[in-house]
Amino acid sequence: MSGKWQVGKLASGKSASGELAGWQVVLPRVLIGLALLAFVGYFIVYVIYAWHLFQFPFDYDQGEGFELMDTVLFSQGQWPYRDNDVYPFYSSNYPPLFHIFTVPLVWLFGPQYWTGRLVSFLGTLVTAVAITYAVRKDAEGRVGDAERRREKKEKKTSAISASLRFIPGKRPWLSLIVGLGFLASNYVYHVGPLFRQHMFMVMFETLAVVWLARTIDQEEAAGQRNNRALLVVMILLLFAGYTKQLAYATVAAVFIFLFLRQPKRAVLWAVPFAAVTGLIFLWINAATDGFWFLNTVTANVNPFVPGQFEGLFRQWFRLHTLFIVVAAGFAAYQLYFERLSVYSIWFVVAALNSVTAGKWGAGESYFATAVAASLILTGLALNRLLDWAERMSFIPVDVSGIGIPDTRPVKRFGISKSRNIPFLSTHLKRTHWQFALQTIIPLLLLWQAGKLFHMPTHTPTLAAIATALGQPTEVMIAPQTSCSAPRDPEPIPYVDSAGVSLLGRPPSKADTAAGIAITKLIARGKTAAFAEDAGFNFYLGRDVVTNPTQLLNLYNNNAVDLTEMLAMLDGQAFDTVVLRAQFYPPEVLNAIGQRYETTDLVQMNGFVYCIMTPRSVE
Amino acid sequence: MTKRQLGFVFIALGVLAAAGMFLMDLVGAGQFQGIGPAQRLALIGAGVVIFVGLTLLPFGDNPA
Repeated sequence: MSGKWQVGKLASGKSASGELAGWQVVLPRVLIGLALLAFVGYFIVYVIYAWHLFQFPFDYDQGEGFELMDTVLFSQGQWPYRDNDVYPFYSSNYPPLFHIFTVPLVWLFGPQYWTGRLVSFLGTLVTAVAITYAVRKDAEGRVGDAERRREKKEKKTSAISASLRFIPGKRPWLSLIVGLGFLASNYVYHVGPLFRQHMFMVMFETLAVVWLARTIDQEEAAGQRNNRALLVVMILLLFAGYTKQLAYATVAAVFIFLFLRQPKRAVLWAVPFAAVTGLIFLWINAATDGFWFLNTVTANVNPFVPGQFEGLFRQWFRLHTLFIVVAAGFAAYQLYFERLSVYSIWFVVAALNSVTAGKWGAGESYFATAVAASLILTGLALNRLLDWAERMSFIPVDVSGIGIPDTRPVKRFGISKSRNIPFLSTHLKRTHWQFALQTIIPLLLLWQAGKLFHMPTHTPTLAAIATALGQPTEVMIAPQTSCSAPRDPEPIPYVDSAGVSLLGRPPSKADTAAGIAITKLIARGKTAAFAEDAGFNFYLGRDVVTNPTQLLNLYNNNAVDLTEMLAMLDGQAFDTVVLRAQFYPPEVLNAIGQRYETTDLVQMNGFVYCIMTPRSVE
Repeated sequence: MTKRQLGFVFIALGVLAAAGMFLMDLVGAGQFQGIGPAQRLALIGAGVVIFVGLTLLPFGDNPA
């Protein structure tokens, strides 16, 4: 749990905790155990949610089915960057890498939603492990540094006092908690097991930054550059960027860090990196007749909604307060009193870039990178704080069995002073300080765990746990309607401190039955449905028609010609139309309203779907 | 790079950002007459960056 003092080869030192009373050792351990339990509990909840999602065969989050469609197209050797003006009016607005990684599963098992959900879920686990690894390696690095310093000093002098060195603690519990903290974040929980590429991007970003930190540390320790390791960092960054465009912020953070440490090397690597990135971009654009640029760049120019950003920013801070405050404090400390680490720069850049969460179509997941960075910084900062407290608490009362007091000089404000201090009273004050920190830190982690509270309560055990924790077992939420009359709130077996959330509740058997009911209504007709979700057409093996938000984005940028689509709707070429949130451009919605009428309303996942069939033409 | 150099970089970035905000007015960008709400926020941000840069100057040749 703690660091220790070593006294070279001459005598054994007392551990700092050895100076504390028994209960003062036990209490922090109990609190650490509770904090670990809380974060392991969140992990179990995360797995439960993911498991339910893997079994759900329809769209849970709007857009999942289109990412599946992208994967299917890649599995057939086709690009998903297409002409939206012609049937089936479909194109993707995301880079390809997440879908390419999922292709083998689609080859093996067909167009199943669980394939991409599993890949994304595994990506979040890798990210959590990378966060744990980063904190663990930093602690191990400081242990190694301390031991090397001690050995060096011992070679120079044989004095016992000179060989006294504090060996920092590794604290595996802390690295584990920050790693699990990532999976415990409400945002990661909501989005992690979805067929969305965002968390896969965060995985590559985190791996790149952690690998860079390790590479630079090792290079500086060995005094020798390792360009092969830096190449791995660049490849990971490239992967992140070609998973989702938002990774540009992490790319910027990495090159800012490199520039601070090694300006010439940063420029030398930036040029080929930009060239390779640009060449891939141009190649895809040429291979898709320019539809890559249209669909991934033009279609992503969306209006900024200040209120949306402000709300999400406040929520991010409210949910992750401890992680953000500690990370920001540590980054500020490094800015003035240490060298800036890549983690500090990454956190600041990611936090600034989270302003893009205010774009129409963006959301809470845009904070996931900042969450990952803040967790690594939290782990590093708390480790150092605990080391400092333990170092301060130690006075070697019996160093070698001959009663040598601590005569090492103390440094205050850069001035060495003799440690001529009242021995026992100072020691007591310092051990109290150590005990206080060892108690407060796990308490703060428990407090943070409480702020992140989210739990499905659909089983008696989970409901009982929620009750025991003083949480409600149900939340009243009105189903979301857009094409039908508002409905009364109904009890939802899911509680989330983020507030009313449409994500997070494991889909139920009733939701699956509702999805199948919609497909049966579509199956009465012979054509593919003109549907806002892709899942129903996938289920029936029919064409996936339209990507509504993509059409709306292009429409808002005057970059789509709706003539053919409007003509088909006007001619009632589709036997069924399925609306969920009416994300289509206004002209399309108008055409649907003119030519189709609602025949059935089906509720699935808290949304009321309107199933429409052609109006009788007079 | 040293803390002092980093401080100068911050100051330069802050000054450039503030100048850019005023330049936007000159070329007629934005929806508001004078300084709009987004510009005001950006100017405050630029001011903070300049302030941080100034506070870094006394740290001299310490590595950034």
